[in-house]
Order: sequence, then C-alpha cells, then structure tokens
Amino acid sequence: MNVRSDPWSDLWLLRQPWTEPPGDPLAVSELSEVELGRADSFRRAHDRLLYLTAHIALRRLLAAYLEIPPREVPLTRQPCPSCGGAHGRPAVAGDPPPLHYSLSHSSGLALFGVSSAPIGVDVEKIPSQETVELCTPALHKKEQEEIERLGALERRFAFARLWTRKEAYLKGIGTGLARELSADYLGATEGSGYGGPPGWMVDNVPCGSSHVNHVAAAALSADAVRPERIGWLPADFLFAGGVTEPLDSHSR
Amino acid sequence: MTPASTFEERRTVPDLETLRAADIDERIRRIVEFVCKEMRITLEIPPEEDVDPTQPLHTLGVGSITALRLKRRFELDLLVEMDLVRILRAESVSELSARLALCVEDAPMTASSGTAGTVRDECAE
Repeated sequence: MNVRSDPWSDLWLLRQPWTEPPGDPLAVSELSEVELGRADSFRRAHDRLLYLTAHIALRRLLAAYLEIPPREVPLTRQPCPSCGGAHGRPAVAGDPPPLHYSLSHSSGLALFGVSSAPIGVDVEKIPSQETVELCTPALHKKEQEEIERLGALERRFAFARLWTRKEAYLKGIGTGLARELSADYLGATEGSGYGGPPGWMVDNVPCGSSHVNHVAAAALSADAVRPERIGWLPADFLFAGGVTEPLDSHSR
Repeated sequence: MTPASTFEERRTVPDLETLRAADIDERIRRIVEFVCKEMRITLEIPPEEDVDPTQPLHTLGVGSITALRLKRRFELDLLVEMDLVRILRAESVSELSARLALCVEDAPMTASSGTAGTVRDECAE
C-alpha cells in the first residue's frame, strides 16, 4: 500500500446510471459476497443499482489510493463507540488504517470522502415540506430557531443542508445516528464563520447543476486539510474493463 | 408549525384507545398498516407497488431522513419513543410494529414525558 503521509482529503461524486447497461456489465465480480447479498436484498431495481454503483466505485477508488486490486481492499467495521460491538464506522483494516473514508448515497447520487484523518460525508435528496415540519423539532434548539425563521421553500433547503452537515459530522465522529440529534449544533449559515463543533471542519459540498435535487456535506477532523478537490467519477469507472484509476499523482 | 395536522387526509392515524383495547395481533396488524402507509407517502411508492412488511426497512429505501420522519410519527401518533438506529436496523416493518405494539400496550402515557413507551437498544444487532 502506498498512501501519502502528509494531511490530505478528497471528495468524489458519482451519478448512478439510469439502468444497468447490458453491453458493459458492471464490475460486480470485484464485490464481496456480503456486498452482493446486500445488493440483492433491495426491493426496487434502482435502489439495487445505486448500491452496486456506489460499492463498485468505492472499492475501485480505494484500490487506486492503496494501489491494490479492488477486490483485495480490506473493508471492515471499527468498534461501535457506544457498545464496542463490530458495527461502528466502516473502515479500511489496519492499525492505524492506511486511509479513512466515508460513503453516502441517495436517490441516484453517491458521495465519497477519502482522507488521511477521520471523515464523514452525507448526501440527501431534498425532503418535502411536510417531512421538514415533522423532523425539525428533533434538532438542536438553535438549529430549530434558524430553520423556523425561513420561508417554506428556503426551509426545505436549509433543513437538508443542515441535516447533511449533522449526519456527516456524526459519521465522522463514529457514533452515527446513535447520538442524540439535539446534542450538537451544526447550524452554520453561509458567511457566519461557524465551521462546526470543536475539532471538526463541517461544510456543505456543491453536488448539482441548476436543477438541484440533492444537497451534500462533509465533516473532516481538524487533523486533515480541506478537500483539495471535489471530482466527478466517470460513468465507465463502474464497468468491467473500464477506467479504474481516475486519480492523478497528487492524490497519492 | 403543526406537523400532526398536515396532509391528514392522506394518512391513517391509529386511534390509541382502539389500539390499546385490541388484542396484540390486531394491534400489530393496525400498526403495520400505519407504518406501510407512512412509508408509501414518504418514499413516494406508487399504488401498484406493495410495501412488503417482511423486508428490512433499508431494502425498501428507508434512509436517515425517512427514519427520522417515522420516529417523529411514532412519537406524535403512538406516543412511543424509538431510537433512530433501531428503526434503520429493523428486520422488517412487522418486527418494528410488534415492538411498537408492546410499548403501546405496556406503558400508559405519563404527564412528565408525554410518551407511552420507549425503545432504546440502539446498539443491538
């Protein structure tokens, strides 16, 4: 394995193909039996395809950083910070791990964070107004006040932006959603100068075009540096025999 | 904001007294129906597609925001608190509904908490 020793971080985005292409089959042979079983458990075809897409890309991405074949990337789970069980943060095996990563996918879009220090990412489809009204009272008091000051349309975007920051942070610290949602303030607004809880840099990530359906965020340990780039992975990154190394030399 | 009154016409909120009076099988059946309907609305599942109550929730497309929405529905409509992770890791809608049914049965609402029961075993797998 050959990974840079200085602090670094990268973010990658990938759009899910509309359908599973018959001519250029996805590189599913690079997935583990567990991953294939999980993919097959999805009820709807596009959910299955998104899972396959995200996990093929994840293995290929990590493989490019680690300079090993995708199937040999040693994925594991760190101990749960709450109970010590084997269902904590997903990680590359190693003590210390050669790099840190985080993956999120939602409604056709996947976001990958790869870093020299703990990282969390989240991407979400913008929820309905009804969902926002229902869920806002679960947040930190100050976050609630900030959202409730906004108009209906702004509120949906603001909630989604805030939620992705919160979930990225909770993934970054390793607790995930087991931690109380009201415990941490992630309500940074643009230009406020607030960058997240102590020891963390948390911010939203641009992930769309003018037709914005998704919002995304990343949380980085202060031991890392802000992402050097936010790159889009090409569609053929997913196909057997396709491009397997989108990374140029500066990300190694 | 008045979340409990929004889109009421599309929803079927179980009556708590009726639920408590029903036997456990009937209570579970009604809660399964409620949860499936809630998921259909949130996940925009078309009427011709079933929500299979025997499947794990994540396989039906339930993510973090949908799980939070379900959690809030359980608090508002069933007066039951359930951890978000428990919802996300539920083996099925049926299993989740059975847990909810037991909480609805076992714990009358208290003035201090405003909730009937609590399911907190977020790290159990």
